[in-house]
Amino acid sequence: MNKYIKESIFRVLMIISVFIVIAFLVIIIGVNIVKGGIVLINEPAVIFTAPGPKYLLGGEGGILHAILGSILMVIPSTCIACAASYLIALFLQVDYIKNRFSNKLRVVFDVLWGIPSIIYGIFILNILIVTNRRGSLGAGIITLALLQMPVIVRYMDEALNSVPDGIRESAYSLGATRLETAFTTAKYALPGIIAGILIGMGRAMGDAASVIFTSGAGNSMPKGVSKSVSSLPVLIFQQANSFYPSVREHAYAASFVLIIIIIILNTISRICSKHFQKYTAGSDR
Amino acid sequence: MKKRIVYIFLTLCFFVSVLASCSKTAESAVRPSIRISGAWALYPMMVVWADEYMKIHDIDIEVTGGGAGKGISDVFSNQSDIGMVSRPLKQEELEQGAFYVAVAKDTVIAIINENNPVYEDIMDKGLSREDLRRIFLGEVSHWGELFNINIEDDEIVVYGRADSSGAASVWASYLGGYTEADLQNNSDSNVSGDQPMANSVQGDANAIGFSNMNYVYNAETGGYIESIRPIPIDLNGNDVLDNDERFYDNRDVFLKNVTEGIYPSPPTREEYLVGNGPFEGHVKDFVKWILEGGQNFLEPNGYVGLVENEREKELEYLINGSRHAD
Amino acid sequence: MKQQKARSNLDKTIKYIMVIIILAVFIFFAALFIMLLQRSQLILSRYPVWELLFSSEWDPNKGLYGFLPAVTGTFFVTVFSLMIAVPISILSAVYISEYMPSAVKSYFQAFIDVLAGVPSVVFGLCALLVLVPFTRDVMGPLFGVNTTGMCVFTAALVLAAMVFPVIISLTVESLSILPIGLREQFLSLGATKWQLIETVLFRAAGPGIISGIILGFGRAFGETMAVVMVIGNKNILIPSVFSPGQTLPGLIVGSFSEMMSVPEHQSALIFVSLILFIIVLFFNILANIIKNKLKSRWRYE
Repeated sequence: MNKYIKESIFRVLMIISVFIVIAFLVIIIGVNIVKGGIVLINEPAVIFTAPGPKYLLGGEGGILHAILGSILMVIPSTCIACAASYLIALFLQVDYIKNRFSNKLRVVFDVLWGIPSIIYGIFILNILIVTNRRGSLGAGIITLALLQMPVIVRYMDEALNSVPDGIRESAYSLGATRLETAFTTAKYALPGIIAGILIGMGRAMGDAASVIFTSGAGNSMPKGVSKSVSSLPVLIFQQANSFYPSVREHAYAASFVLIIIIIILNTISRICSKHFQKYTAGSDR
Repeated sequence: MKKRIVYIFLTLCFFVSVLASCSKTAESAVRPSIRISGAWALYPMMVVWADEYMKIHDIDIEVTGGGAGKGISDVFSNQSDIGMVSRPLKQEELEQGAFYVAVAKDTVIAIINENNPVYEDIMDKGLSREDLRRIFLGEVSHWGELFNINIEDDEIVVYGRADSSGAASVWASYLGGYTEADLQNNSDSNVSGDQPMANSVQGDANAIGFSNMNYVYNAETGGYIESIRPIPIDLNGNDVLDNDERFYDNRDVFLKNVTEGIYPSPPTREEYLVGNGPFEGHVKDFVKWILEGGQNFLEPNGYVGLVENEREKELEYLINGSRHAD
Repeated sequence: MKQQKARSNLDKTIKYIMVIIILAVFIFFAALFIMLLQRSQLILSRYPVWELLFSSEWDPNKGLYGFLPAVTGTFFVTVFSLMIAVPISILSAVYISEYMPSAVKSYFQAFIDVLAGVPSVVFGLCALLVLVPFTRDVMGPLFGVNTTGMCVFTAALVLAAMVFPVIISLTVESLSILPIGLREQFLSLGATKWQLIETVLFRAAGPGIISGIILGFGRAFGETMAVVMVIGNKNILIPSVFSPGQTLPGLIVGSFSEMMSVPEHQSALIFVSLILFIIVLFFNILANIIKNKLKSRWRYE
C-alpha cells in the first residue's frame, strides 16, 4: 500500500474518532444544558433557596443545601488530596527511591483507583462505627480525599515521568536540592498535573455511593464539620426517584449545576496553569 | 519558592485541623435530640413529620437517608435512634434485637403501557394472580397467549428491579412465595428504582413491570400518569372483572380499596420504624405522635395511612414495648 | 553556607513528610484489605470458595451466592468497552497532538478535561435518555435482535465514553512531551506523518499510552453508577452483547445499603469487594510487568 494512501486513511480514521469523542461530550453536556437550563430559566430561585420540609414531596424550596454541601466537601478534600498526592508523586520519581520500588508502589495506587467508591464508603463507615461517631462533613471530606488521591497521584506521576531528563539534570547541575528541582519539573508537567486534579475532583464531585455512608444525607443546610451534609449526586439520586414530576425535573437542574461547577473550576485551573507556565522552560511548547 | 512551601504547609495544617475537629466528640446538647436514618422510601415523609413535630415540641430531629439496611445497622451501632425500613424485617435482624412498629402503608401494583396490544382485554377481564405469576416468571412470552388470540409483535418484555427493594420482595411474595432474585433472574431487564421502572414501561408498548402506587396515579390530580396503566387483578379468578373488582379508575377509589383490604396484602406492605430494643423516652413520644397526630399528614403527601384497628394495635405494641404481648 | 544548610534541611524534612504520607497510604491500603478479608470471613466459613466463585445461582434469600455471572459480566463489559475506547481515543489523541493547530488544541484539551470531570451519575442519566433508546430502536433492529436497550452493549458504550478522557489526556501528554528533534529527523528522511507516528512516536510514547490504558481499565472496572443504570442487572452468563448482564460493583451498590443489617448478605457483598480488590491487584501487577518489559524495549534515547 502506498504510504500516502495509508496516511489519508488514518487521517480520516482519526478525524472520525475525534468526532465520536466530541459527539459524546456534546450529547452529555447538551442534554443537561437543555433539560436543566429549562428548569433554571423557569425557576432560577432553585439554586438560591434552601429546601423546605416538603421539598421532595413537590413542596417549595431549592437545592442550595446540596450545592453548598458539595462545594464544602469537594474543595477541602481536593486541597488535601492535592498536597498529599504531590508529595507522593514526587517521592515516586527517581530522585528519592529506586525505580524498582517506585514501580511496586505505583501498583498500590492503581489498585486503589480501580476499586469502586462504595468500598471506600464502607471502610470509613466501619471506622466511624468503631469510634462511635456519626456521618458528618468531616468524614465526608476525608472519604473524598482518599477517593481522589490515587487518581491525582497517578496523573501527577505520569506527568512528572514524562518531563525530559534534561530539565531535571540541569536543575541539579545548578546545585538545586531535590525539592527545588521538583518545583521546576512541576512547572513543566503542569498541564498533566492540572488534568489529574480535575479528574480527581470530578470523581469526588460526582460520587454518591461513598458519601451516602459517610456524610449523612440530610435535608438540612451544612452547619458544621461534625454535622451531616448532603451533596449534589445524592440529591440527584433522591430527586430522580421522586414521584412528583416537578422534583424529577429538578434533578436535571442539579446535574446542570454540577456540570457548571466543574466547568468553572476547570476554567480557573486552566488560567492558573497558563499563568504559572509563562515563566517556565516548557512555556514554548 | 518559599511561598509555595508555606502554602503546602498551610494545606497540611488544614488537613490536621479537619481531622482534629472531626475527632472532637459531639458537644453535649442541652435540647433533646432524635437521630433518624434509613429507607429512601420513607425519608421524605419523615422530614415532614420531623418538621411538624419540631413546631410543637422543643426538640432537635435529624433525618438522613441511606437505605433500609443502613437504618437498621445504624440503630444497632447506636448511630441513630430510629431506623426507617420499607421491607419486612429479616429473621437475622429480629434476632439481633430489633423492635419495630408499623407507621404507614404502601402498595405495589403491576403496570403496563396504554398501547399494550391486549390493553382492552386486560382492562376488561383483568389478570389473575396465576397469569401474573406466569408472566413474571417467564412462562408466557406473548401477550396473545393470555387471551388465546394470535397477534403480531406481542412479545412480553418483563422489567424487574435491580436493587434490593421492598417493592420487589413484596411483589414476589404476592406471586406465591418467590424471592426478589426469582423476579430478577426471569426478567428481560432490571432497573434500579421505581422511577426508572415507570420510565421503561412508558417507553415500551409490550412492557410489564411493577411499582409503587404513586408512580401510577398522579398524587395531585388522582388520574393516571402519562401512558402508565395499572393492571386490574382478577381477584376471584373467574376470568371476568366483576364490578367489585373495578376500582382502578382513580387514586381515591383505589386507595379506599387498599385501606379496606380488598386489594390484597401483599402486595400491600407496611413501612416500619425500627429501634434497638423497645423505644424509650422522647423517642417513644415521637413515634407515638406519628401513630396519632402524625397519621393525618400521610395522605396529603401521597402516602397511605394505617386503618384504625391496625393503628391501635401498633400503638399497643409501642406502649408495651413488645410485639408478642397480649 | 548557612542558607545552603537550611535548604538541605528543608529538603530532608519534606522527604520525611513524604515517607510518612506514603506509610499512611500503605496503612490505609493494608487496613482496607484486612477489613475486607475479616468481614468476608462469615460467608467463607459457611460456603466453600469454589462454590461461591463458580456457581451461577444467585438468590441470597435462599442462601445461594454464585458470583460467576457477575465476575464474567464485569470482565466482559470492561474488555468490550476498552475495545471500543482504546483505538478511538488513541487515534483522536494523535490527531489532537500532531495535527491540530495549537490554538484549537488547548481548547480541545479543556473540553476533554470537562468530559473527564463529568460525574458518573450524569453519564448514567444521559445514557438512559439517549443511549438506551438508541440501542433499542436502532442497534437492535440493525442486528435483528430484540433488546430492551438495557444491555451489555449500552453499558460498554457508556464505559467507553468514560474511559476516553483518561486515555486521551495521558496519550496527548506523553506525545506532546517528546522532543521535537525526534520528529524532525524522521520527517526529513521523507517519511509521511503517519509513518512517523507509527514507527517512532508510538514507541517513544508507548509507556505513557500503556499507563493510560491501565488507568482506563481501572476506571471502567470499578465504575458503578453509570453501569448499574443501563446494564439490566440480570444474574446470567451473558449469551450475547444485547442481553442484560451483571457486574460486581453492581451487586454491591444494588443491595449493600438495603441489606447491610443482614450479616450473611453483608458478608457476601463484602466478599464481592474482596474479589474485585484481588482481581484489580492481580491485573495491575501483570500490566506493570508488561509495561516495564516494553519500556526497556521501546527506549528511544
